[in-house]
Amino acid sequence: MTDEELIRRCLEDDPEGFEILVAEHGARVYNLAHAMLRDPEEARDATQEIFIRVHRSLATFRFEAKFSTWLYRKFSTWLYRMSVNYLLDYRRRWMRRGLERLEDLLSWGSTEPAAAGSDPEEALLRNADARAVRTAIARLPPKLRAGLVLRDLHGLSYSEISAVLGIGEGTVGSRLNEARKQLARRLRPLGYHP
Amino acid sequence: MNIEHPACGTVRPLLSAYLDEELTAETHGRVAAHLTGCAACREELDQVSRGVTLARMMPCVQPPRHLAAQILARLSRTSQDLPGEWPLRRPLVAAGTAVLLILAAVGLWQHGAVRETPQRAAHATGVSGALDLERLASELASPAQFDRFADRYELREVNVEHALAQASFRVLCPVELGHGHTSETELRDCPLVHSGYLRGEHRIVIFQQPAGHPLIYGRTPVEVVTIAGQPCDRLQTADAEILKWEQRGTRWILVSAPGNPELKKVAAGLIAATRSS
Repeated sequence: MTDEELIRRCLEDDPEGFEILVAEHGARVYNLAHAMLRDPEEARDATQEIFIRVHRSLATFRFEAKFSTWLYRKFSTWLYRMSVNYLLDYRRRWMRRGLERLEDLLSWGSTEPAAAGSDPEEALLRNADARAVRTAIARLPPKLRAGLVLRDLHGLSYSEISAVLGIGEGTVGSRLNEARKQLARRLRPLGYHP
Repeated sequence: MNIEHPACGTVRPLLSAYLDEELTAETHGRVAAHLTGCAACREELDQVSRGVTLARMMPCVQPPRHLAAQILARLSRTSQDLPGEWPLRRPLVAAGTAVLLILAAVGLWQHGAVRETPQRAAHATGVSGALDLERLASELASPAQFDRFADRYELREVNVEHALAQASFRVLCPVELGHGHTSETELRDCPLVHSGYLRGEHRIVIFQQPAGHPLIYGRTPVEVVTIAGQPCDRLQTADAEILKWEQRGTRWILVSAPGNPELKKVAAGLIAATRSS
């Protein structure tokens, strides 16, 4: 069943439609939130809030069929756009309250469970690498971070990122340039030099 | 020595797109030709490429179990209509049993309007009768009960460290005596009930007042003087001060300014818990 068919079911008040939509896209949104916010609890909260908004806005999605580019009619692009807008606004609200330092001082961290059968020490090292990268990504300016996460973690094309962020494809490229260079510079002193 | 060419300014912004093969064939060819003869741009390309490799080191994280069920449960809760407003002026209420004091700016109680929110916790009813303090205390007497309560009223719990359960707070609370007179009561050895995290925005700490002390509501600010026996920065709930302390892994106690809508929900939720049948 396609996303569009699922949305049609939701709009026809079929509760199962939204359940399937959440099941299919929940992990994607959670990963995006986790990459943008870093804290697993915040990511979970944000994911829930995003889907609440999605549910409320489904009727408006239908009307976006009038947009000229097919991308805006693609549900995943719409979902990414809602998610990124919420997550960027989330960050702005934090900063307006002067709580930006909290993120630096809080070391929530997260550890991914080691793959079954792997060497615990290797798993620990992998976790340490992942944490270092995650921290460095979290410290990128939000607009740069959003582009990097969408491209390098979620594999969106430049045109899709352009539709999600509402910027030109040239700007997508230049932001990616800057984000990737900053990431490399931040991690190099820690010995990450692939 | 790297020598920059005039074309470098045109090529460098395209390096990511070049790596990602997002350029037209013609532009891709021009960039490739430039890179052949420009060490500076090749070095920059190398840096961009390292950034890609590093970013992709970040693994996908497993979403929490039952994420979909949580979303749907919350959706179900938020779809209920909430009539009326919550009159937030609260008188001082004497309590015979242990009650909860929310370490928060309760100045919001003065305001009649509750932020429009579908959460049931913000449901406003008329205020009448004494609070069911025993019920409130019993609801939060154990971690399991707190979990149910928190889930219902959308409190979030982060990194509950059992050592925190041993922490105690000493709090100074102004008390209205009537006729414009105020005094101050000191609450000692208030054990922590739970440390929660509200909607990813604010940390809230809930601790339990010892039996026999009055429940403090209204705009009365509270002042945390010590935590776990350690002196702390004087923190008044009326200000949006942040107290930073490190005690057994806990990092922050966060207090929001009056009128914070998230804390309204928490406060309203705690009151609503005593009213629901």
